[in-house]
Amino acid sequence: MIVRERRKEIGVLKAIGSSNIKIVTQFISESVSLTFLGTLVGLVAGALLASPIMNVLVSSSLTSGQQPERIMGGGIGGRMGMVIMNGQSTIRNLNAVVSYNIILYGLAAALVIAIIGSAIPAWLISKVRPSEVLRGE
Amino acid sequence: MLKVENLKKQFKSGDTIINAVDGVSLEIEEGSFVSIIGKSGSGKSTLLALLGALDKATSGKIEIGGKEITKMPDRKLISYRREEIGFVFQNYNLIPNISALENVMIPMELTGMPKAKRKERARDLLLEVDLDENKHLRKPSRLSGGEQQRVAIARALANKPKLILADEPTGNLDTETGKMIDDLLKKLAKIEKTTIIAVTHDQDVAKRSDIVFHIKDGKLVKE
Ligand SMILES: Nc1ncnc2c1ncn2[C@@H]1O[C@H](COP(=O)(O)OP(=O)(O)OP(=O)(O)O)[C@@H](O)[C@H]1O
Ligand SMILES: [Mg+2]
Repeated sequence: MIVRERRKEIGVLKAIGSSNIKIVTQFISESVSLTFLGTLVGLVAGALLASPIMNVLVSSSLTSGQQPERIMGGGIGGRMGMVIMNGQSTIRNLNAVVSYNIILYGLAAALVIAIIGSAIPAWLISKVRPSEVLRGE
Repeated sequence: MLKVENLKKQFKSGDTIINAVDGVSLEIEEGSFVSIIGKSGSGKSTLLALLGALDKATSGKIEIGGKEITKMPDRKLISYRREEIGFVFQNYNLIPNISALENVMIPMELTGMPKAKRKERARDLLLEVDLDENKHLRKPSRLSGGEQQRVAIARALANKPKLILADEPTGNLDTETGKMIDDLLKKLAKIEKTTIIAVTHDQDVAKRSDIVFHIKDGKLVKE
């Protein structure tokens, strides 16, 4: 789906002599770089937050285990902690681990979606007639 | 230089056929400023679209600088639009998310001009259309209508086209600003030796042009 603003932009680019291929390439590279950016943000956020989140989960489980009176709506963290506490006694060295495979799969999936998601607009782009730009809004 | 023979464009809508351009013939010398006047729906935009190869004629012939564009394959038409035609629209039609300078650079990017060179020419062109240098990096939404139209004119001139086609370039502007834009177009046509064909509603503008055509029901009458 092309929103109206983009459709106008495509018409203008065609009217001033840009080819279908060129416009499609431009739009696809735009969406691919957005995908990369999104993946990067996701990875960084994941890497930075994984450890604190684990800590919160683990420490709340420890405290809740040791001082049940302080749970006070400890939420998911608290409850999970209880489960872990029941199953295991030492959980101090618990780490969040993300393997490279998972990152690669995620990236590949995102790229496939971005490319398929661009093929459809590409087809729509080729259908925009440059003479449309002479019609008023 | 520009020669049109018995040009026709029909649109089919349902059972009815509209003769939007109905047997237009004309000859225009290089460097002239031509006005086209006509009521809404008379075929002005359709005629410009044919001259600028935005649309294909149903029949007839358009010849520019000895080249017959009505016979060109699509691929050639793209480079024809890119290199020999400059368009100026009523609603400016600048690309919204890039600066004025970058808008003027686009046509030159399409011809593969090196970045430094096209940046320099874009700057020169913007100065030539009297856009203050401190506004060159603004996005179109932060420019007034008249300023946006100046940018559009600079963009139209970027690749030194033989022909500039302007569809009511002053239609969205107040009288005074509109007059300035018209004068600018005319001045530039002389400097750059470009032919300009402008659709207008303004009798005054028409009076000051080299040739005036009236169009009615797709037919052209020279004044
Ligand atoms: N794509 C199209 N499909 C069907 N009819 C069309 C199309 N484009 C234009 N027409 C018809 O052709 C005729 C001429 O239209 P055109 O846009 O050239 O008029 P105009 O002189 O530019 O009018 P305006 O001053 O309102 O812009 C009109 O009757 C219009 O409805
Ligand atoms: Mg029109």
